[in-house]
Amino acid sequence: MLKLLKMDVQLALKDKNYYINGLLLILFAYGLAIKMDIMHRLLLQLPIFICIFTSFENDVNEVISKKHLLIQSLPIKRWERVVSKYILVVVKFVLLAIYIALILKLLDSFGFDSLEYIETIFKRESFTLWIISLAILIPIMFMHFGIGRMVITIIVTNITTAMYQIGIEGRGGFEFLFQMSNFKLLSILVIVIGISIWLSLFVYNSRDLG
Amino acid sequence: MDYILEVDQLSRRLDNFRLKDISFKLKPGYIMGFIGANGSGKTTTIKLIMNLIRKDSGSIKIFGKDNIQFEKEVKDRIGFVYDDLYFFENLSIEEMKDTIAPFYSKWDDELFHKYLNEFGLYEGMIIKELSKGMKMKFSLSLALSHHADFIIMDEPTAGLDPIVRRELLDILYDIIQDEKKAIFFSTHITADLEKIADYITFIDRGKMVFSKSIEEIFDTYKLVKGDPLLIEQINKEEFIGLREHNVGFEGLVYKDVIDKINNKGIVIEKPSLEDIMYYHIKGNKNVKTT
Amino acid sequence: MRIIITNSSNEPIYEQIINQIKALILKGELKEGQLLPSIRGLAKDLQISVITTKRAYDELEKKGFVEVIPGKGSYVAPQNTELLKEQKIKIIEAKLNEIVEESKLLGFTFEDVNSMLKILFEEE
Repeated sequence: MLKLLKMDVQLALKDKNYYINGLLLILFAYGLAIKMDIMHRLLLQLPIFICIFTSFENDVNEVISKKHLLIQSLPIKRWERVVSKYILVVVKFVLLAIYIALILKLLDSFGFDSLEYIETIFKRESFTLWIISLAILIPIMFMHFGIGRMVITIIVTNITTAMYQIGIEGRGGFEFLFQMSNFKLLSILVIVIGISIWLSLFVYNSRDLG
Repeated sequence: MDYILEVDQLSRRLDNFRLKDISFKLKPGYIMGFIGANGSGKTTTIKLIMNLIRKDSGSIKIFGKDNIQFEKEVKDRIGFVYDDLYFFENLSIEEMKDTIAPFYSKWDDELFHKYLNEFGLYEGMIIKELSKGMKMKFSLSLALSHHADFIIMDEPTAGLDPIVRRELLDILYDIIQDEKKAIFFSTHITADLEKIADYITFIDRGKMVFSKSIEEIFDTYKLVKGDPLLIEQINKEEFIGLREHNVGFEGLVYKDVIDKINNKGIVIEKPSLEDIMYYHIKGNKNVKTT
Repeated sequence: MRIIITNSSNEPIYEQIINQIKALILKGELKEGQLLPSIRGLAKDLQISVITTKRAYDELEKKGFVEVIPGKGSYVAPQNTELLKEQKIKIIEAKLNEIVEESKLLGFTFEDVNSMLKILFEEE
C-alpha cells in the first residue's frame, strides 16, 4: 500500500493544475474576504475549496474508470486503494495548506495584511467542516465515477458549511460540536472518519470497475 | 499445478447481457485463443478473471488459487494487455514504467529495456504521442517485464496493421517456448489464431460454444460445398450452419455427417476458424440467400 | 532438414509432417538415432500449434519411426528394414492408385499410362 501511496503522491505533485488551482483558490477566497465579514467568510469558503482539491480528481469520468481498471489490474487489493485514498487526502491537504500559507505570507510582505487568514486554515472549525465534508464525499467518489463529481463536491461542502452557519446563528446546526472539548471533538471526528472508511470499503469492494 | 487457468460455471448478469456457465481450462505451456463476435462476452469474461467486475456465480482459479482470495499474489504473476488500456497520457514511457514497476515483486528493468529496444521505443517518448501499435508494444513490454507466468490479453491486435500483428505473434511464440507459462487472448481476428493457438474457446451471446484443441477442432468440423440440387438429398438439420446460393451451397457439418453424405460432387474442405465461427453464429437462418 | 507445410491442401497439417518425416527417414536423409527438432521448436518454425506437432510425433512414434524420450527429445527410431521396404512400397502404391483413378476418369488405358511412365523414367 505504501507503493500505491507513493505513486499517488508523485502523480499529484506532478499535476500542474493543482498548483494553479491552489493559487486561484487563494485569490478568490481573499477577494471574497475583503468584501464581507472576513473570518466568517473564509471559514465558510475554505473548506469547500480544500475539499474540491483534495478529493476531486480532475479527470473526465471515462478516464477515471479506465484508471481504476489499470490500477486494479496490478497486484493491489481494493482496500489498499481505499485506505491510501484517505491518507492521500490528508497529505494533499497538508501540502495545499502549506502552499496557501506561503502565498499568504508573501502577500502579507507586500502589505496585504493576510497573516490572520493563515490562522483560519488551521482553526478547528475549518478542520472539522473539512473532515465532515470529506467523510461524506469520499465514499461517494468510490461509488460514482460519472459526471457531476464536481457538482456533488460543491453541494456537499456547501451543506456542511451551511450547517455550521445555522449552528452559529443558534438554530441547531453543527454549533454543538464547537462547544465540546477538543478531545471530544477529535474522538467524534475519528469515529466519523472510521464510518466513512468502512463505507468506502464496502462500496468499493462490491462494485464493478468497468 | 495442473492448470494455470480454470474457469468453472462462471456467470454474470449485466444490464442487457448475460454470461452463463462459462467453463474452460488452460494448462501451462499452451496458448488459448478466445473467440466470439463483438458483444459475445469476451471482455466481460476477461474482466471477471481479473476481478475487475464481480461474478454472480462460478469459480475462477489462477495458478490453482482462487482469483479473489489470492488476488494480489495471483496478479503479481500475471501480465495483462487490454485494448483500451488507459495510461497517464502526459507521462513519458519511463515515468509510466516507474509508476507501475514497484508493484511487481519480480520487476526486471533490464528485460524492460530489452523489449523497448526490440520494439523501437524510447524511454523519453510521451504516451499521448504514441500510435496505437506503439501503445500496444509498450503495454506488452510492461506485461512481459516482471517474469509473469500468465499473459492475458484482450483484443491485443485490434487496430494493428498486419506487420505489427505478426511481430506480436512472433513474440508470443518466443514466450511460450517456456513450458511453465501460458497465454490467453481474446480476438476476433481469427487468422492470427490459426497460426498460433493451441486451444480455442468460443463463446456466443454469453454462452459456451466449445473449448477444444486446434487439432480436435479440425477433426470435428468440416466445410462442405456442393451442387444446389444435391442439397435435397441431405438433411438440412445435419448442418451446423448452411448457406445456399444460386450456384451451390456451403455449410459446416460435424465430421461424422460426412460419412452419411454420398460423396459424389461434394467438396469437403478444412474450414477456417472464421467459417466455424460464422456458421455457428448464423446457423441455419441463412438458408436460401440470393 | 526440410519440412514444408501448406495450408491450401486438404491434408491435415499433422499428416503432412508425418509424411515428410517418414519420407526423409525412408530415403535415408534422416539417420537412425538422429535428433529431431523439438516439438515446440518445430511448432515455432512452422508457425503452428505445438498440439499439431505433438500429434505428428506421437503418430510417428506409434508407427515406429520415432522415439520420444521425455526430457531429452525425439529421435529417429532404429528402423526395421522389412518394415521400411513395406512402407516404401505403400507410398508408391498410393501414388500409383491416384494415377490409375485419375487416368480412368480421363479415359486413358493402361497402355497409354505405361508408355508415359516409360518416357518419364527414361528422362532421368
